[in-house]
Amino acid sequence: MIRLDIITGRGRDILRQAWKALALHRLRSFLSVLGIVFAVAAVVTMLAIAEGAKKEALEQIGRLGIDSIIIRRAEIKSTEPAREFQTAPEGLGYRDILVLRQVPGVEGLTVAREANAFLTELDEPDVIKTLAVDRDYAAARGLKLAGGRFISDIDVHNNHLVCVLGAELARRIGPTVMPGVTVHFDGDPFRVVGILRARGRIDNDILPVALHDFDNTAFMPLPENSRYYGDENSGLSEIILKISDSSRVNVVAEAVRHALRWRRNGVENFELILPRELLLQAQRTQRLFNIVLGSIAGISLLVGGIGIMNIMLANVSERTREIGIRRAIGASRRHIIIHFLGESILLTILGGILGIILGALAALGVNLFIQWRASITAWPVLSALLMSIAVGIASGIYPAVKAADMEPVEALRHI
Amino acid sequence: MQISAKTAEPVIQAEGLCKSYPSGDDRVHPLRGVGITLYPGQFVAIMGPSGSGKSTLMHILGCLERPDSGSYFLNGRDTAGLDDRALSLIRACRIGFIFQAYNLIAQCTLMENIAMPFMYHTNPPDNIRDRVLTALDQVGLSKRITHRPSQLSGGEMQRAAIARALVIDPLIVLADEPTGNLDADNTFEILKIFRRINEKGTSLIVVTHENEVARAADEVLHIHNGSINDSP
Repeated sequence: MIRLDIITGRGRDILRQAWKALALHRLRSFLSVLGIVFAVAAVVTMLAIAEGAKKEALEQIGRLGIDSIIIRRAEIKSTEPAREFQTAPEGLGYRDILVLRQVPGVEGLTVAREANAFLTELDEPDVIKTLAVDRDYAAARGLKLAGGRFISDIDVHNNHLVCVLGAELARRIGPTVMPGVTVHFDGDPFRVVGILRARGRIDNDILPVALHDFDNTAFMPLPENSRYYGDENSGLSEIILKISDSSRVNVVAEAVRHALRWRRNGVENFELILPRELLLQAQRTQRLFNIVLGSIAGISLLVGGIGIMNIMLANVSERTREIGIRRAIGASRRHIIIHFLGESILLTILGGILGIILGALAALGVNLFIQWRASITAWPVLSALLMSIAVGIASGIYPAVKAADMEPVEALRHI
Repeated sequence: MQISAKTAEPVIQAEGLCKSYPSGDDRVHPLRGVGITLYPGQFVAIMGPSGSGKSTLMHILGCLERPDSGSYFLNGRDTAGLDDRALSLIRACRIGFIFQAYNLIAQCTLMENIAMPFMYHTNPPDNIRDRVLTALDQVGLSKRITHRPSQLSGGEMQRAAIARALVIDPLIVLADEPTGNLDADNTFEILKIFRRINEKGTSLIVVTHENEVARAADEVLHIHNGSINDSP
C-alpha cells in the first residue's frame, strides 16, 4: 500500500512536502549535496573520457583491419646468436611474399615500402614520408579519397610517376594542389592523381603500435617488376595479410611466424601485429580502467553519502516535534520512513542531476581545451542517477528509521 | 467511572488504565486504574493539577500510547491487539487532536496543514479541497488557505488546529489545554466553536485548567494522582 502511495496523488504530496522541507534550508541542503555533485561529476567526466578513449582505440584498431595481420620489419634482438643473424635476410622482401602466400588461411596480401623524400612544393620545403604501395593498400588500411583515384594496377605495372597525397600534406602544399597537377619528390616530377580524406589525429598512447600518419604521407606505386620490391630479401617495410576467417587469426599468425622464422634461420627480425589481439587487449585495459574508476566513484559517493546521512540526522533531530505531530494526526512508522527517505533520495537525485550537468560541462571542456576525445553516452548518465538514488537510500534509511522509531508522545514533548 | 448512562454504544470505554514510566531509579505512575466511558455527542472536561495524569490519559485515549494494563475499547473495538499501522489509521480517520501549542507544521500552508491527515488515509476522499475549505469556514479562516502558520496569530493558529481536527469528520475530538496559550477573547471564540461542533454530534474530551472551559462541558472529571474523582 505504501509502495503504491509513491505513484499516487499522496505520493506526490509526500514528495512535495519533502521538497518544501529541503527548501526551508536551501543553503544547508545545497552544501550537503555538494559531495554527491562532485562525485557524480567526476564519474561522468571520467567515464566520458574513458568512453572517448575506447572509441578512438576501437576506431584505430578497426582501421588496421580486424581480419588482418600486419608484418613489419624489426631490429634483430641482441639475444639472437651471431651466426644465425649473419645469414638471416634483413627486412621483408619478395621471397617472404612467396612464402606467405602458401600459408593456409591467408586470403591475400598487400605491401608497402616506406621512404623519406624531399617535397619541393611546400612553403618551407621539407622531408616527408612516402609509402610505395600497390592497389590493394587503400582497401586494407581503409583509406578514403576526397578526390581523384588511388594507385592503380596500371601505375604499378608501368611504374608511373604518380602520387596520392594525404589530406594534411595537400593542405600544406596549398589550395592549388588537385588531381592533375605535378609535384616534385627529390626533384622528380610526380603527377597527383588523388587526395585522401582526412583520417584525424593519431594518438600513439592509445595503441601499443606505431601508426602511420596517413594525413601527412604521399603514396606512390610500388613496381612489381624485376626489382622485386627492392631486392629478393629486403626492401619492404610492411606486409599486410588478409585472413579468410578472422576467428582463426591467432592460428594463422602462428603459422606465419613459423614460416618467416624458418626462412630466417630462426631469427625473428620482424614483428606481427594482430589488430584482433589489440582489440581484446584494449577491452581488457578498458575493463581494468572501469574497475579503478568504479572504485574511485564508490569512495567519492561514500563520502558524499556520509554527508547526506549527517544532514538527515540533523533534520530528524530538528524536526522531532514535527514527527510527533505527524504521528498524532495519523502517520504510521512507515509513513515517517517514507517522508525522510523521500527527502534524502530527493536530495541525492538533485545532487546527481547537478553532478551530471557539471560532469557534462567538464567533458565538453576536456574536448575543447585539452583536445581529448570525451564522449558522453546514456549509460554513465543513467548509472550516475541510479547511484545517486542508491546513495540516497543507503544514507537516508538509518535517519528515517530513527525518526520512525521515536515514541510519538516523546516527540510531541520535544521543544 | 461512568460519566452518564446512555442507550447508545459508547464511543470510549476504558477500564483500569494504568501507566508508569521510569524516572531515574524509580518509576512514576501517572495513571493508576483509570476508567472512563464516553457516549456519542458528549462533551467532557478533565481537570486536575499538573502531573496528575491528564495528558497521559489523553494520549492513551488518542491511541498515541498504550496502557501498561487495563482495557480500552474505541467505538466498540478493542485497541489492545492493534499494531502501529492500525492505530495510526484510527488516529488519521477517527480522532481529531488539538494541542495547547497548536502544532501546525511551519513549512506548510494552511491548506496543506489542514489536509495533512488525509495523506495517511488508505482511501482518502476525492473532495479533500472542499472538505478543507468547509473545515476552515467553520473556524472562520477560509480566506487564509495560502498563509503559513507564522503569518497567523495565536488564536488563528488554534482555530486552524481545530479545523485540522474537524476535517476528517472525527468520531471524537481530544483537546489538551486548547486555550492554555490564548487570551480571554480567543478562549471565548474557541469555546463557541467547541459548542457548535458538539451540537452537531461530535464527542469532545477537553483537558483544561480553566473553569470557564469546564463550564462549557456537559460533565467535568477531576483527576488526582492518576485516579479520577467525582469532586475537585
